[in-house]
Amino acid sequence: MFGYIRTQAEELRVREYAYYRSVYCGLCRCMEKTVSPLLSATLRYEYVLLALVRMLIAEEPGEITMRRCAANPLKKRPTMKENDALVFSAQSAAMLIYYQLLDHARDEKGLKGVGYRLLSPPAAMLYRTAKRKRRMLADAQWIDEFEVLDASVQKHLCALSDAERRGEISPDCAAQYFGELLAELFSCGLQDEAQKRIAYSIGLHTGRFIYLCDACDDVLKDEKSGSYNPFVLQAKEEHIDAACFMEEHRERILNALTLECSAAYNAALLAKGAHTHPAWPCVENIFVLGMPAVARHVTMHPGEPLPSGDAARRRTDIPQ
Amino acid sequence: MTDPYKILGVSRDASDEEIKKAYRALARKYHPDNYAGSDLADLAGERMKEINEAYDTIQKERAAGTRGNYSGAYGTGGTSSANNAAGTAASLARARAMINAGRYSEANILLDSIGSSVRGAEWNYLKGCVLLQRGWYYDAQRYFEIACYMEPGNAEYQAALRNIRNNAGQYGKAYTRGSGCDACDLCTGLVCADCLCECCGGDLLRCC
Repeated sequence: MFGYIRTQAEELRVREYAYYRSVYCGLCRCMEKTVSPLLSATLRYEYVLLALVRMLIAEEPGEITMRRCAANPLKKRPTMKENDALVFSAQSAAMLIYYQLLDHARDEKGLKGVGYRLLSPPAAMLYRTAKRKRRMLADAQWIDEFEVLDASVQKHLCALSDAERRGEISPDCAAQYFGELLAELFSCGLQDEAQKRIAYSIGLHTGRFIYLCDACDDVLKDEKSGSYNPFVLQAKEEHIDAACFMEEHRERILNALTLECSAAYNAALLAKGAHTHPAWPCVENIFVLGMPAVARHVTMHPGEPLPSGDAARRRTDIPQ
Repeated sequence: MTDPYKILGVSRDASDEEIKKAYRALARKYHPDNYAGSDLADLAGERMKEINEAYDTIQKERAAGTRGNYSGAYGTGGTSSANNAAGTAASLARARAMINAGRYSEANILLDSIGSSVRGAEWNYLKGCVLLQRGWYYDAQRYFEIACYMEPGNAEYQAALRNIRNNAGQYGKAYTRGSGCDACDLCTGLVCADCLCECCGGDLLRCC
């Protein structure tokens, strides 16, 4: 369910892109330090967005240093020093990966299911390590709420699989479960009422966007395999096949996805001092350019891989 | 109070023109219309107030220059008063009143209690309104489309559908970095307009 959060790196200024990279590298390093080097192999841009949003809302600009890392020992890169948002994001990644794996192991049949079940024990070990290290973070304000979140993530994922089993026909209703999950994650442990509401809203719409993109992207595949997909059910109700449905209702789906981006962007805009924060250009780029571009792609070419490039990997040399 | 220049995101030595531009850009972003129906509307209002106050303060500080140009803050967006249709069924009218009063969840329960055999165009429209407020954009469009299909001539239903499409279509269009329209763009625009006028026999700029 991941890979739908992108930047359009070519539209960022060099220093803005360097900031984005520094959060990426910082998060990777933070995962190594505070959880396990294994976890950093699962780093996704979603967690970078989470870290960016948490820093934006906490008005924490972060501190950047030049560092080498194991993956690229020859060159020093801008790396963000460990801070609260990065630790939070690393912990969230450990938790979400574990629960999603469990979820897949339960739902998937055949060879894929076996694969997921084989992966479960190492993931469980990883998560136990994360939990142990989490208890040692005495100074973070979100620890108590994170324990509660731990339980409610399971609850949301169960509610989602229930909806899938009963054949929920409304894509928006199915997306809401995942949206609420991310909303609680984004807003976890924030003390200030306004901050919490802003983070909740950003998380909600980001989660809904990811779910709807995923459903739209998989529509042809799921029609063939018979897996749950709200858009396949919508197509069935109109007595047409999925390809035809996509052709006919492309605009409706694209509008819905675009408005999710817009809602997330409008919420992010409300964070205090948003447009003077160094993370703002990155957040703006993701919500205004990156995500809408993904939405256009999945509605135009469902099932085809997203243009791999994100240009992020190609633009590796950043002046110091 | 925080530094008004920081709120507008301009430096202390920015020109009046730059300040006005920054203010306009921010006011457009935080405009109540962007948050109509959103549960963050009150926060947007606060932010807007902050920006207005910052702009006011700077204007006062620089009292010598452009005070006269400031013509008050952007007002709150007009909420649609869709109270005209009395509605054939009494419960639809009640649901509509609830929606107008902002009691969306009650309206939703009432709408769901209406039997599916008597759900007409207005029911679909009202359901769409409830879902739109909740941020369920896909379903909202679906219900609006059904409403328009059932009653093709209804301007209210069409406006609702058009509105949602326009909002999606306009999103991201304003994303510009650095300078937007400068003096050069203005001149080029005027020259183009003049050429067009001359094609039709008129003249906009005497000099060229």
